[in-house]
Order: sequence, then structure tokens, then C-alpha cells
Amino acid sequence: MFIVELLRVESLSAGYGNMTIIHEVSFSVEKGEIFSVIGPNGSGKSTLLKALFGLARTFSGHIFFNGKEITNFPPHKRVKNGLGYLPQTGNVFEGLTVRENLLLAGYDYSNGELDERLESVQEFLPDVKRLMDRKALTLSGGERQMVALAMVLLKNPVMLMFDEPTAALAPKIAEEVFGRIVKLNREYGLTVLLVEQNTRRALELAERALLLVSGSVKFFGSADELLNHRDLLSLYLGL
Amino acid sequence: MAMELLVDAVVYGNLLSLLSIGLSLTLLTTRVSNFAHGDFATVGIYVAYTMSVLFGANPYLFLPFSFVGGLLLGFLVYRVVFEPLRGKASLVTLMIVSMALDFILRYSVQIYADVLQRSLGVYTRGIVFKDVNVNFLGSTLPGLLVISSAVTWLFLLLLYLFLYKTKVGIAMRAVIENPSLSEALGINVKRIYALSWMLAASFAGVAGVFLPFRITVNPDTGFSILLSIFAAVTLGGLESLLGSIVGAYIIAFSETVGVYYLSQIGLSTAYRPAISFITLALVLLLYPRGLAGLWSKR
Repeated sequence: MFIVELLRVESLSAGYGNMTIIHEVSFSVEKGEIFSVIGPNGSGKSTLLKALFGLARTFSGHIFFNGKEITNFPPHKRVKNGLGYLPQTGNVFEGLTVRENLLLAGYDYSNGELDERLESVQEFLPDVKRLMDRKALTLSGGERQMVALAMVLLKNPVMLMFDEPTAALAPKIAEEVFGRIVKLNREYGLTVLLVEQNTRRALELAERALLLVSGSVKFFGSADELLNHRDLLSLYLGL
Repeated sequence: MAMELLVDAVVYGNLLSLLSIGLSLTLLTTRVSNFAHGDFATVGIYVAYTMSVLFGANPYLFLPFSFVGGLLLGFLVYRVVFEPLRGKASLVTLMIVSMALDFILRYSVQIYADVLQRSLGVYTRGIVFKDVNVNFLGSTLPGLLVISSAVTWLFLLLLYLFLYKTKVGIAMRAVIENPSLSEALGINVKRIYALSWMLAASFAGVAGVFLPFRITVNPDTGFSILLSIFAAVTLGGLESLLGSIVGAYIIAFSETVGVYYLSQIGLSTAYRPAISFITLALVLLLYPRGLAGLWSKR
């Protein structure tokens, strides 16, 4: 099979202010795969996503995405290049209605393009339609996650990075979210980079994975192999 | 007398609304407590004054020039001063930078006033604009009351329509709430910040045109009303545009009426700023989150 590398990270060190959180991280994500990043609390998983998206400070290293070096791109340019990011919290504008949230997600589209994209997103997430006039502040956790996903999908990303998409969700809703992620990957061909606290589930879904501990890579390779690597999982994740 | 007080309070409330809404806007977007905000109004005064001297026409006609002057000044100030500091400077640093900017703008206007005085041979300090009366619904009213009310409420309506009915305005509300999510969605936050500064300075520029109709103005007039602007914004709840409008009218009414009664009992009107702050303290004692706390659910 012909494998296309979509994201390549080379010796990336990043953090906030003058504090380095992740150290010399290198890995790559192939087009069409689900790639999981796992690790204990405080290992730098969310910071890694933020650095890839340009929201954390990059101290050294390189990020290549979709054939371009994006290391110094601001977030909106990374979005234009096909990178999507769904943060764990603060992923919708609470003071705005769902309609306004979606309008913003399609900020640089013409009205015609926005309607077209909205229609295709609503095919995937039909429940969004009934929430249109509600203020995001009034949505439940699951509804909020769904609207946030719809917003990111409107941008038509090539790869979507999820930061703990099931955090604080009831198990049933969390399973629905995992189902959506798989559907996006299998049916819509979207490449997924998943940061998830539910390690076992994250590894079951993924083809390949990265184990991050204290900001450094402890394992990078097949998710099955990591799932069967009892020593690593028990040492770092208590599984 | 009561009617005169009411008219003065409404006019002052109009001016303070235009000024405080701009201060709120830049505070909400870029987190800058801008001590140079009053100077934007001073620039508006001198733009209108220069034009009226050059063309010999009523200063009201030059409102659009002060508006455009404000747009340009706001853009310049943001791009040259605050954009390079974005994400690097603390809130205190930003505030101190704005104090430095206040000095720069205020003394630039002083220099400009000197140059204008020498080149055109006109007074450039202690300026007063002569008002005209306007027939409104069969009554004769001060032009300042009618025009400042019409312009202020038109601007507030346009700002509301901009923020709630246009894509860029909704993006501005989004950036205020969550700048990183806005960036994640591809909104150019830098442009939105620049726009907020342009709007703030242009509203202040327009307020500046009205000021010499009401009081005697100098290059430091903007700075002298800064305390009242801050009082109005704080009274409104610091982070609410509607709150700062309501706060502006409350401060304007309390100052106007308070100064009148101070003069009636033989006290100096120099206590005017104290009235703003007594009003502010009383309201905050009742509503610690400011007026916005009354309607904000968060």
C-alpha cells in the first residue's frame, strides 16, 4: 500500500513563556490513520497538540504538514492548510448561539459555500439543526462536543486533532463520540490525531500511537504493540 | 434651571457614552486599560477645529473628519504600540505603556496647537465652539442636545447592528470571549483587535467634536475627563458595552446634578471628580460586579 506522511514532527521542544513542557519530540502521522497520543496526567499531551496548532510556544524543532513546513505559521494559516483542532474545553463560544458559532467556523466562506458545507456537516451531525437558535451556554456536555465538532468540520480539515474529546462525558455519550471519530476516519477519510485519557479505548481505535511521559517520547509505533506492551502500560499508566 | 441641568446631563451622558464604549471595547478585546483614550477625543477636537478654521464652517460639518482621523489614529496606535506587545506584556505593563502613550499624544497635540497658532494666527487653547439652536418638533432646542443625541444613538445602533448582524461583528464578540478558539477557527484575531482600536478611537474622535460646544477645551481636555470615563466603564461592570453606556449616563447625571448642588451650597465645583467616584462606590457596594451583574448570567 502507498503510504503518505501527512504530519512530520522533528525534535520539537515547546511550552509556555520560558518553560519547556515537551522535549525533542519526533513522530509522524500517516494520511488516513487514527493516531493516538497517550500518557499520564501532566505528560504534555495537550501542550503537544497546542504546539502543533501554534497555540503554544515552539522553542526548537520543525513541524511539516501536508507538504509544507508550518512551524512558524499562525493558527489561522495552519487551518487554511487543512489542520483542525478540537480543544478539550472552551471549544464553543458560550455567549453566542449555535448558528453564530457555525457562522464563525465558516468565517472565510461566502454565503453559498457556507450553506453547502453546513449541509454536508449536518448530514454527519443531523442533531445540530435542532440546536441552531440555542445559546451555547445552555448546551449539555454532549451537545457542546457535537457543536464543537461541527464547527471544526466546517473548515474541511485534512487532519483533525482531538484533545480528550470524551472528558467529563457520560460513558454512553463518550462511546457515541468514539463512534463519530471512527466514522469520520473510515467513511470520510479524515486523518485523526487523538489525545485521550481512556488509554485502552484510544489504543483500540488507533493504528499507531505515541506514549508521552514528562514531555518525552517513551514509545512510538503500532498501537497494538503498545497495547500488548504490559511493562510500559503498567509502569506509566498503571494498566 | 431643572431643564438646563437635564439638557446638560443628557449631552454629557452622550459624550461619555461614546467615550466609555470605546474604552470598554479595547479593554474587552486587547485587555488594555487605555489611559490614552481621552487623548483620542482631543485629537478629534483639533481635527474639527483645524477644519473649521481652514474652511470657516460650523465644526459639526467636520464630524466625519474626526471620525476618520480616529480610525487612522486607532489603527496606528494598535499596530505600532500594542500589537508588538501582544502575548508578551502583562496587563500592568500594557497599562503603563498606555500612560506613556497618553503623554506622547497629549504633548504632540500641544506642539500641534503651537504650530497651528503660529501658522494660522488663531487661538488654539481655551477653544469654545458656538452652538446653534435647532427647531425640533415645534420647539427650539440647543443644537448640541439634538445633534449629539442623534449622532450618539445612531452610532450605538450601528455598533449594535455591527456586533450582532455582521460576520465581522460576531467574530469580534467571539474574539472577546475566546481568542484562542477564534484563532483555531481561522479568524484573524490581529485584524479584529486593530478594528476594535479603530472603532474606539473614532467614537472618541466624534465625542471630541462635541466637547468644545459644552466646555472650554485645551490639549489636555481628553486627559481631564479620563477619570469620568473610567468611572462609567467600571460602574457598568468593566466588561460590558451596555453596562458602560448605562454607567456613562449615571455618571453624567450624578456629576451634573452634584456640581450644581455643590455650587448652591457654596462649595467648589473642583470636587466634580469626587462625585463620580462616590457614585461609583455606592453602586459597587450594592452591585459588586457593576451594573452588568444585574443582567449577566455568567
